[in-house]
Amino acid sequence: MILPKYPLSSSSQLMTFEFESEGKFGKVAKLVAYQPTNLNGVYNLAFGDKNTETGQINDRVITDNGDRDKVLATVAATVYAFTDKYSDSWVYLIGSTKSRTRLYRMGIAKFFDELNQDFEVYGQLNDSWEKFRRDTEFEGFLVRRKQIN
Amino acid sequence: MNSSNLLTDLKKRKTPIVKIDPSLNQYDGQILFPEKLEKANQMLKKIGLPK
Repeated sequence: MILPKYPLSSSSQLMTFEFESEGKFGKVAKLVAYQPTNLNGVYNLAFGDKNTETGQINDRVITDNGDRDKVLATVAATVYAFTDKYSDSWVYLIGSTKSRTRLYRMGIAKFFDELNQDFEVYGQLNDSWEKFRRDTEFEGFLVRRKQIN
Repeated sequence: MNSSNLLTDLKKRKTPIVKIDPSLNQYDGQILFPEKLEKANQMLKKIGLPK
């Protein structure tokens, strides 16, 4: 993505990423973790603020640091890094609250033209998967790197 | 490639350059948000993956 992004650090296996948001409330450490689900090859994307003193992650806090697009672009960049290494994996994404899910939907919609070049993108609606569309209020999202034959 | 072209190339990269930080290894495999993961597991059990 050509959009500005924050520099990323990662665990050795590229399963957990950290970056620092910089905005009107100063620096806020963010963590993105890919957590295996019970379904083989499907990972749940966990995203939240990291308390630098305790190491605890909070996925409900609304930082409102004035850098939403840069944060979303950085989270999207972790999906590229993760699926570069784990190319057959699916990544499931759902917000901790309806408003957070809406934020993810806005992020996917904003970057969809670019994401769609490299990923299969599905939205969860009424217990089924549909190809992502910008005009639909999906409840969750599933992406996988397009498989090159 | 000169440094200007290299900079342009780096900015256009979709896959980011990532610095490995072993202190983050502690989070690998740790269930950070159990309720959310359980919700994901239930949903995947119910509707599976796209056909």
